[in-house]
Amino acid sequence: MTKTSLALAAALAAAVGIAASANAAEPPFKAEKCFGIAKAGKNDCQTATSSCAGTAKRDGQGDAWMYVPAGTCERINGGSLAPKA
Amino acid sequence: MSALHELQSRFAGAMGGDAPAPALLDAIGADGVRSDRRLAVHCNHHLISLTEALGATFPTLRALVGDDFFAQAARSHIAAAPPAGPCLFEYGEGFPDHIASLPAARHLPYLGDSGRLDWAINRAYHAPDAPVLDAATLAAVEAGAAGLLRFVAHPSLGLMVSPFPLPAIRAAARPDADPATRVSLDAGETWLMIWRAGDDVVWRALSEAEYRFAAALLQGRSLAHAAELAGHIDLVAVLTDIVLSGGFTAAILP
Repeated sequence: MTKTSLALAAALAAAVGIAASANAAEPPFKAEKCFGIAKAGKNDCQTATSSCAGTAKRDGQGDAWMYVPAGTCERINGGSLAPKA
Repeated sequence: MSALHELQSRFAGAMGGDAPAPALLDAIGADGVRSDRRLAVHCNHHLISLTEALGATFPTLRALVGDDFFAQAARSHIAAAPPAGPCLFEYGEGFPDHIASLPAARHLPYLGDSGRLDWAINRAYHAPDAPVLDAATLAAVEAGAAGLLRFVAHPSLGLMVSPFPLPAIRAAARPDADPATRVSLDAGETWLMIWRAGDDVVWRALSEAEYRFAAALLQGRSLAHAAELAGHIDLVAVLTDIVLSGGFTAAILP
């Protein structure tokens, strides 16, 4: 066996040992859980607003950009705010 | 063009904002409500339901720019790129590019990648189920053959790289985040591995070398080759944290 394959074999054995001994509920690796993506009501062709809620009157039409971003983006600062090429 | 196809094209055009052709209105008929108003109900539903679907898929974008701007951006995207299929969760892949290209959002260069992370999470969430590679399978591999192993990625596994601190931006945009939270874009680049563990989408921040390793495995390279491409990495750590994370389903020997 070459030096590399020896190192890989040893690493594999060690990793298998670590993974096997880790509690199933607590994996050895650190992963961040993503919250807030419950997709209730989005897996079919219906959303919270039923078709009857959309009336014949169309709101806020027009291509004019009356709005500017006004959300939590104010919390993001610094760095180069110029668009990346 | 067949009459049905022509009618469908006109109907789609009306959904996209075209003035309805008289032939379309005739085909719709009145039935107690004028046909143009009946068509308008449908147009409105088309816009509202797709805007809500985009809002559910892109919670970070929606929070970052606010509901009003989001709705306007959704409206122009829906008109320019209506869904190609019936499933709402499959709609919106091009939306991050669209919102990032809007003149009013040019000063928020991280918007596109923030949306791409939302999309990657959505994609992982809806990816098919698959078995997860476990330690016992690897334990059965002959020591001398370890370097030849190739790995099959779980359908939910995705990698993402961005010049911006995406997890911090996403956390700051969450509805329950402390309003005093501030994220500095100077916090720098992000290399992410995203997959689904059980019913939960999870991600892990990688180092640049770990990212190269994971990308090589995803491209079907052997373990030895991936380790070589990655450069200086802790082999035990990447095997435990990446290969046995749940992001891979099978190990194959040639």
